[in-house]
Amino acid sequence: MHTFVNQDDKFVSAQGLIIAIVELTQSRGIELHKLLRGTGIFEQDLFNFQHAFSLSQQVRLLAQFKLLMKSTDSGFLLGSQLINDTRVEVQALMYSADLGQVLKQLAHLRMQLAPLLFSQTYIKSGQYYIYLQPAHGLNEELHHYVLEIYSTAFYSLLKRVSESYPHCQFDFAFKRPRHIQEYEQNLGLKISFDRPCTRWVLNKAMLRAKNPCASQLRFMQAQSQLHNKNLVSMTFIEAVCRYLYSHPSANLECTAKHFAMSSATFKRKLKINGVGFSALIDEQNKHKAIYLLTLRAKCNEQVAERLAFYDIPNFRRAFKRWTGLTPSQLKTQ
Amino acid sequence: MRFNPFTSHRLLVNCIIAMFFSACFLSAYLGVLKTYVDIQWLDIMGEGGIVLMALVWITVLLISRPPSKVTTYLVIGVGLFMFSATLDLLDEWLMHPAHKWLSWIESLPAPVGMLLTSLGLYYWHQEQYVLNRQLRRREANLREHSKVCSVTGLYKAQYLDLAIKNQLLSTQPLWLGAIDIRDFSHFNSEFGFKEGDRLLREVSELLLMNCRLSDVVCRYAGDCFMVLMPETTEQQAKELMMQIKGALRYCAFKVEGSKKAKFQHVTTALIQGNERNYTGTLTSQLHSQLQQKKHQQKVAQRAHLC
Repeated sequence: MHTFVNQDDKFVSAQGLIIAIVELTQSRGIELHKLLRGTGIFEQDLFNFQHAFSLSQQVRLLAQFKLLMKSTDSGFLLGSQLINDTRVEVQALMYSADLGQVLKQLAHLRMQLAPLLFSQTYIKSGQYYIYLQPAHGLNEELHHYVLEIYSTAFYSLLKRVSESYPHCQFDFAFKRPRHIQEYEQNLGLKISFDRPCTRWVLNKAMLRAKNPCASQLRFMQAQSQLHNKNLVSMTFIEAVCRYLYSHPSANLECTAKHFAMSSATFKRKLKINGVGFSALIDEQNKHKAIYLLTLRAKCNEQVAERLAFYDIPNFRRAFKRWTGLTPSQLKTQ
Repeated sequence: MRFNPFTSHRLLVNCIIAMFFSACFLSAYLGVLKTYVDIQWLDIMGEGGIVLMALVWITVLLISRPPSKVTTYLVIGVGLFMFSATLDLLDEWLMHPAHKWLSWIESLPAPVGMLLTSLGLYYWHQEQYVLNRQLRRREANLREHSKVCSVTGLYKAQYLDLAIKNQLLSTQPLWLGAIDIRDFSHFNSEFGFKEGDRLLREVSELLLMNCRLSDVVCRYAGDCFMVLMPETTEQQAKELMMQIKGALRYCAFKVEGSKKAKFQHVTTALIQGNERNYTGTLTSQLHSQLQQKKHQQKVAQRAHLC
């Protein structure tokens, strides 16, 4: 049985997001004690380099950062700063031979680099799809902010490791924000909003493009250093999501049983992590339905059957509730 | 910037406190308490509100204005008004004997205060005229303090959209130019955000210097600036962009802690704004044009290298 990360488990290193936040606020003249207020992080923790932080601390710090920076570009600044990190995980990305290897490393080191999101990837007719979901209970506003940060980080990474101008399509599930100009400036030309789910789309041919700063020796060195590190696998929420995704007919009891808990403990644990069970089920069914309808081109009957719906109208109604579209509307989009 | 009244307006603060307490002292010294049934609570509420509001106005003035003639006239004017109002308020509790000079004290300061306030407003008008001239090239015929970027002091994209809408309503031909610093993210990662912010500030100053008095410079997003050029021909707009390009190329920016000066290269794009092609966001049309241009430049650069 795996042990999964809960929101108060301390495993996040200060390198990366936390240090970038501290540096950015200091350059804007915001005092450290103001930034750390209410986050559960103390100043001496930042100077103790062995200290690890929990996800909930990181999220609270992020919320405080957003509040204090006030400007609409703070998330984008933070995102572009993340790839300038010097730790070994980022080096493993930077020295990869091609973009395909970068993405592979990214998937492998995701919990170290971007623990607040998890992804599912598919390849279909020459396109590489990365679907993103929150791996931690976040409120809507903060979830958008996290997506801003990591989309910018991802796009900056693409620019760094590809020789030609990287074309990446960003689809967001939320409505067009007021500070659209920041998205345009930081994420290139292909951005769309109000989509059924959040995803990044790359051209598959790009994956084989050589990385201009590749170095096999340095890459191997980074790998051997990572090998000695104790890497955590995934958050509890992600584990539940992945289980529900592959078992559409699972109910509360059997999910709890799969995680070797009683239903009450399981529910309590979800609640601690800030999510509800039915919301998770809906979200996973939505993703599964969208995947089957668009990428696998299944018809409504097959999808309804796979998602364990009794009849088609029921499925259509549920789908409309999840996405605001009927299945046929989604297909024609 | 906010002012601390107790350090930057010490004299005025003392004056106001003295006025308030002298009003209290005068009416307490001369008056006789009324009986409970004679007290009109509605009047107390109304007049008390006036005193309170006058005090709030004085506080706001003192916090937000630097020491100047305008501030002094306004504060003393409202202060005198507050003095009369306080005497009026205390009248409700205290019966005053019919002294002629007391009723004078009660009614004279208010009109004098109003006169002083009016004088202060007249000077404020003159001051504002000077300040507006200083703000030229930073704002169009519209003021929205919530839309100013805190790093550069220029207006942000939302303001630009509003200003363009207003300009187009008056059916003047206008051109919109975009200026993007090449590889600004590299600059940021190399020298840190503090120097990056400073570069943005210096660049915005340089842009202001290169623009005509009728133009308006805004910060669109990140390292992209836009210039609104009303009543301009294409030739003029192109020339202005060329001049800006040249000015930035020869601007030797000194990075703190680094010995060498950094020179900035920019990409520019232009779009004409008229009602025909205006579909809600002229700015984002221009921005995508700029991005495409940047993309082409990168491709050309690579082809040149190979």
